[in-house]
Amino acid sequence: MHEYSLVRSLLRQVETIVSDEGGGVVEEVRIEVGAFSGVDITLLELAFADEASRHLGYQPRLQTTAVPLEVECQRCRSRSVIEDFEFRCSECGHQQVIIVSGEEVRLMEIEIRELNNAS
Amino acid sequence: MTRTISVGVDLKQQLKARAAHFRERMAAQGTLVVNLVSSPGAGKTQLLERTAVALGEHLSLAVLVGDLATNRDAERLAPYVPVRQLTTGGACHLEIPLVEAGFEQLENQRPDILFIENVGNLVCPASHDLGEHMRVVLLSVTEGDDKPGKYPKMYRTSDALVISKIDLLPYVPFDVSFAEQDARTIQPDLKTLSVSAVTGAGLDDWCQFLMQAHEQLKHGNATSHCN
Repeated sequence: MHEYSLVRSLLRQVETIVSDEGGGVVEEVRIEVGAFSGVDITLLELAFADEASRHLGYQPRLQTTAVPLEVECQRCRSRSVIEDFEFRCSECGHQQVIIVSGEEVRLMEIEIRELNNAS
Repeated sequence: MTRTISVGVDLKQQLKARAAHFRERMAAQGTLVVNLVSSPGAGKTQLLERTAVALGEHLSLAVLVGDLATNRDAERLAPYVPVRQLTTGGACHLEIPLVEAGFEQLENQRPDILFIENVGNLVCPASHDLGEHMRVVLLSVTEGDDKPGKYPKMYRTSDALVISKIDLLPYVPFDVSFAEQDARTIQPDLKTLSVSAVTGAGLDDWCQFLMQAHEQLKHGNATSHCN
C-alpha cells in the first residue's frame, strides 16, 4: 500500500490531537497494523523515520503492534487466526467466516512530554 | 512530565466515512455503484463498451474511468455512455475524493448503474473503498488461473469474479474451474461469470447479473464485501 501517504496522514492526526490536548512534545506514537491491512510494517517504519522529523521538526519513536487476521465462524462462532489467506474456521472447517480484526491501521496512543507552562 | 493520550482511531476513518456516505447517497437515489478492478489489460474498458450497448437499452448508465494518464478510455466509452475520465497523475488507484469530484461532473447524475473503472492494479485498489455497492474483479485468461491466491485481499473484498477473454481459452493453459475454486477459497460467496467481450459470449448473463443487483439495491438488499 502507500506507507508514505499513510504516515503523513498519521502525523497530521497526531499533530491535531496533541494540539487539542494543549500541546507538548511527542515522545512516542503507538499504532496497530493489521495483517490484512495491506500495509507493510517495515516500510511503514521506514516512512515514519523519513517523514516525522520533516513534519514535526524532531523524531519521536514509533511503536507498531502487529494484529493478526482473525475471523469468526458463522456456524460455530469460534474464532480463528488466518495465516495463509485460506478463509476457513480452524474448529469446524466452515468457510463462512467474517473478519473481526486485522484489516485496520489504528492510532492507539500518543505519549507526550508536557510543556511546563506553570513557571 | 510525560502522559499518554488514548486515541484508538482508524487512520482511514475519514475516507471510510466519506465512502459510506457516498454509498448511502447513491442507494437512496437508486444508483447501483459497481467498482471494476483488475490488472492492466484484463478488458475492463471493452467489457464496459459492450455492456453499455447491451444494457443501455434497459437501464441508464454512467462511467467514471480511472487511469494514471490520458483520456483514452473515456474517448472509447463516450460514444456509448456518459463518462468522465479520472486521471490520477501517477497514483496507482482511485480514492473516494476523486470519485466524488468526477461524479459531480457527469451529465447523468441519476443513472441506474454507475460503473467506476479503477486503475489497472490488483494490489492498492483492494484497500480503498470507493463507496461502491459491488466490487467486481476481472481475470483475463491470458493472466493465468493461479492469480486469485496471489492477490487475496482483492478477491476477499470482491463480490463477483468475471473471467474475461474466454474466446482465447483454446490457446492458453487456463483452467476456469481451478481459478474459480482458488478464488472461492478466499471468498466463498464470490459470484463467478465468464465473458468474451469480442464474441459476446456470457454477456447476457453478465447483464442479467447487473440488472438483478440493481433490482436488489432498489429493494434495499445490497450487500458488499468491500467495506
